This record gives sequence, structure tokens and C-alpha cells, in this order.
Amino acid sequence: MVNINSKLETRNSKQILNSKKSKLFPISNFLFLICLVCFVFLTSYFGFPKTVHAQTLTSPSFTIRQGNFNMTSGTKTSTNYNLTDTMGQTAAEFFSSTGYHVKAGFQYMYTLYDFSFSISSLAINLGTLTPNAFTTASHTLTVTAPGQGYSVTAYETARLTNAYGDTISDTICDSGPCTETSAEIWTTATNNGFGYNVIGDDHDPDFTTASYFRPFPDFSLSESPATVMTTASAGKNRVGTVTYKVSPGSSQAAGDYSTQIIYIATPVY
Amino acid sequence: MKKILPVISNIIPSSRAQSRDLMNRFLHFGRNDIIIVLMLFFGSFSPAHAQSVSLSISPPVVEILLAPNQSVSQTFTLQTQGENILVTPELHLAHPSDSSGHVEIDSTPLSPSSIPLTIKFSGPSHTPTLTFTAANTDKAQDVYLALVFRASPPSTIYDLRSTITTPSISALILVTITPTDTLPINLEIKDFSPPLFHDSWFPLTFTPFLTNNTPTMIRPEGQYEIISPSGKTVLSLPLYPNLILGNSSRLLQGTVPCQPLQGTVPCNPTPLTWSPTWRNLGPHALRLTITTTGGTQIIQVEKTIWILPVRIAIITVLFILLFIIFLVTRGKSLSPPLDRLSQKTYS
Repeated sequence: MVNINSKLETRNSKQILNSKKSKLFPISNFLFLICLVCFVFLTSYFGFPKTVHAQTLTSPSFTIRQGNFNMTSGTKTSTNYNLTDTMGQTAAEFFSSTGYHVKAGFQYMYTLYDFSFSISSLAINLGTLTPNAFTTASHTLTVTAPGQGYSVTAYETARLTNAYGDTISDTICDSGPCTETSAEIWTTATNNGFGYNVIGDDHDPDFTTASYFRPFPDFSLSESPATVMTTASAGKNRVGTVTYKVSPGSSQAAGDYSTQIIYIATPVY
Repeated sequence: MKKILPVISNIIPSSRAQSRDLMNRFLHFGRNDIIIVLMLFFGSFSPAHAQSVSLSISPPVVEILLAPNQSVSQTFTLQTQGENILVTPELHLAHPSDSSGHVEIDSTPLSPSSIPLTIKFSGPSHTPTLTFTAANTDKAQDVYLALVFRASPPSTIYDLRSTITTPSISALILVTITPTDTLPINLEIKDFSPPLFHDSWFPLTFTPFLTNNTPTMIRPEGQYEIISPSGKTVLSLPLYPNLILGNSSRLLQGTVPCQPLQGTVPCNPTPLTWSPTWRNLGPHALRLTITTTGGTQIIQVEKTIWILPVRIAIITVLFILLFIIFLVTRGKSLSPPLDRLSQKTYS
């Protein structure tokens, strides 16, 4: 019995080993799979930086129109001189002899397009106003800026005023108060006032959605102009849609109300 | 022609009859009706309401270096699109408003007595020539101006019911008045404090600022370098030669490698970003060097950062753990109890 049992045990253990070997074979497949996953993973990982570098290559929005513009264009480094000022050697010599030096243009070079600003409509007619109801009108501002960007600021010369001197106050929005530099949601018409929203390219991030409004800075109150569009990169035909919104109160005097909104586009230096 | 003519002649009599009928109707029209129709006709469209205006200016930015008692002239060209637009050039003071090169323009026009410059306008309003004469001064100082072209809409657009918008475009005039060609320099690098460790998985990005502590503007150059533990330079990025106005800061950016055609001019700015590879491990030196245009070193800052494969290490450990767990669970499921196996064989 003992012998038989021992033979059986020996045989059984061999069978188990064989069966284990046959079952272990898929494990090597599993290892191969892990290696494959790791390879794909590492390849994609180390491939990413190359993609990043490719993204930072030249921009199509900035092209040289003319290489040599004035005497400072061209290579600005030299081993022959060391100045403690901001100018190059030629510029310093020129300044010493003439008493002036002028550099003009975006980084002193011409580009394929100029700095330009356009407005789709000069007059904004809000039509007949109804008390405690919104009336809106909109138009677009378009900016083309080579170089390193631009900003558009705006202000009103005074509040909406009629011929008798009655005014419609600037909005303070719903939960308020929205200010000249901080937009808030304005969807309740019983919160009377006059305000604006800018949505589109390079709009001030303050205008989260089309429901966010703020009042124009009032020049008559010596308030500083507010930025409505801004960017620090070159761009062509950047469009912002300005929506004007007004809701007069029920006690507002009847009449034709108007004001003047000034927009100023300024390049980045 | 002969065949067509009779046809035409057939039409003419009928059209004549129609016109006579229309004339009769017109004569029976009341005077008030005519006035109303005319009013509706002329009031129905006002082209000024939909008028658009486009302004374009050249050059948009001018830098002037001027000695005391010296004069220099610069002509600006404004191009407009829009009918009957009146253009008024005005000078305003400008101030740097952020570290990206934007300025804030004063709402009120410049008071000439407030600056050490005499400015004379000449020429038409669309192409004015400004002549700048510097006052007598013994120390360097800057004046930053914005030439604002205000496009006034035609008088026909003025309507009490409408709000008028006035577009304006401005050019920046940045003037340094200095008796010598040597300007004071006092620059400071700020916000260049890398952490001790950085995961090699992520790109390494910095947004340092260069502060100009002098009252005169400067356009420095420089280099951003990353040096490996073996002393090899793994990144060398020239800094974009941004202009920094007096007593202001500017974000430091790199310069994108230029196309051969653009070799002699500054290229587009790019963030100071570096993506480490699997070889870039260990302590790396980050070096920012600021120089003048002439190449003289103004300031140099060097910081050390350890690049470690943190995420790779975590993922590897997780894989090993998962593999061990898998082997253990697999081993358990593959080894049946010996007594059950022996019974089966015995029977």
C-alpha cells in the first residue's frame, strides 16, 4: 500500500507539474502582452515632447514683408563691441552723431497686414423702450493686430440722457453689483439700467457667457476706460460682438435717450 | 425687326392706357397722402445707421531716442474706410498696464506743459507729421504717448434716438530723452523659483518676469538654458527681445527658431517650456541670462531642479504589484487539493 501510494503520489505530482507547465504557457503570453502595453505606453509618452516642440514652431500669422527697414534691422549681436545700453553699435553711433534714433513698426519690421480696427455700425438704435423690459441691440468690433496683440477699451461720454436731462442709470446687474471692470449675470428686467456684453474672439474673460453684463465707465465721472477685448498674440480679423441692453424703470421719464460710446484700439508695445 | 415692331406697337397702346390710368389715380391722390408717402420713403432708410468704419494705422509703435534740444519728426498714416468720416488726431499719455505689453491710455488729451517734450503737428489729419523736440535735461527720462485717431461719424448719423459709437485707433510713441548714449540699467528677475523636484512626465514651464527698475525703457536679450548633471546643455532658448518700459515688468518668453528667410529679425515669442525625455533625470541647472543688445551680461540667475520619473515609477510599481497579485491568484486556482486529486486517481 505504501509503495503503491508512493508511486501514485509520484505520478500525481508529475501530472500536476505537467498540467502547471501547460497552464503556465499562457502566462508568458501575458508577460508579452504587458511588454507590448509598456512599449506602446512608453513610445507614446516619449513621443509627446516632440509634438509639443512642433506646436511651438513658426506662426502663419506673422510674415516678414520687408527684411531691412532701418539701420537697426539685421543681426543685433556682435563680438566686436560691448555696450552698457540698450542700443546696438550702429544705433549708438548714429545717436551720437545726430542726437536722435527712431525705430518704427512692430519690432521694426513690416508685416503682411497693418494694425486695423473696424466697427460694423456707428449708430445703435435701441428702438422704443418698454418699462421693466429688456431691449437689446448689437454690432461687431473687428481687430487685426500683427506683433504681440492689442487691446480695445471703451467708455461712455455720459449716461443715457434725454433732451430734458433725465438719465437712465447704469446697470448693477441681478445679484450685483457688477462694476465697470466686473461683469455679473443680468437677466431680471426689473433690475433697471443700461449695460453691455462682449462675446467673441479675445473678449474680456469677465464676460463668461452672453448673460454677463457690466456698465460702461462714465467719462463725465472721470472713470477709467474698461478693456473689452485683449490678447497678447498676433491675430487677424478678431471679431467681438457687443450687445447693448437697456431696461428702463416704470417711473422713467418719456423721451429719446442717447449717449456716445468711445472705443479705442491700442497695439501692444 | 419688322416682325417685332408690330408686337411692340401692340404693347405701347396698352401701356399708354395704363399710364393714363395711373396719372388719373395720382391726380386723385390727396396732398396729405403724398406727404406721408414721401416721409415714409425718406424715413424708411437712413444709410448712416448701418454705416461701418474701418481704421488702419502705420506705424503702430514708434520708439524714439532723443537728445536734449534735438528734434525728430515722424509721419503716421491713417487709412479709413467709411463715408464722410472726420478724423481727429489727439495725443494722450500712456502707462504700462500689465506684463504683456498692454498700455492704459488717459481719457483726457495730453497737457503739453506736463512733459519734457514739445510736439508740433503738421500735415493733413490722415497723415500727420509730429515733430518732437526734447527739453534740456541732464538725466535720462521717458515719455510714453498714444496718438489717438478719433473717427467722428457724419452729422447725418446724429439722432436723438440712437446711441453713437465712435471708433478710435491709436499708435504708441515711446520716447527716451537722454543726454548720452549710455542708459542706466537696473533689471531684476522675478518669479523664477522652480520646485525642488519635477516629474519628468510633465513639461517644465516657467513664467518669470523681468522688472525694469529704471525710469527708461530697455529691450534686453538673453538666453534660457537647461544643463544636465553631466554638464551638457539640453535646452538653449534665446529670449524674445521684448521692450520693457520704465518702472514696469514684462513676462520673459523664448523665441521660436526662425525660418531661414526670417533669420535677421526676431521671431514669434513662445513660453519657456521644456519637455524632458527619459534620459533627462537627476539634478538639472536652469540658467537665465539677460544681456544687452550688444551682448553684455546684465544679470544671470541659476536654479537647480531634480528631474525624477515619478509617474513612470508609480506606474511600474503598480504593474509589478498587479503582476504579483495575478501570479499568486493564478497559482492558487491552478493547484487543486492533493487529497481530492489522489482520491480521483485512486478510484
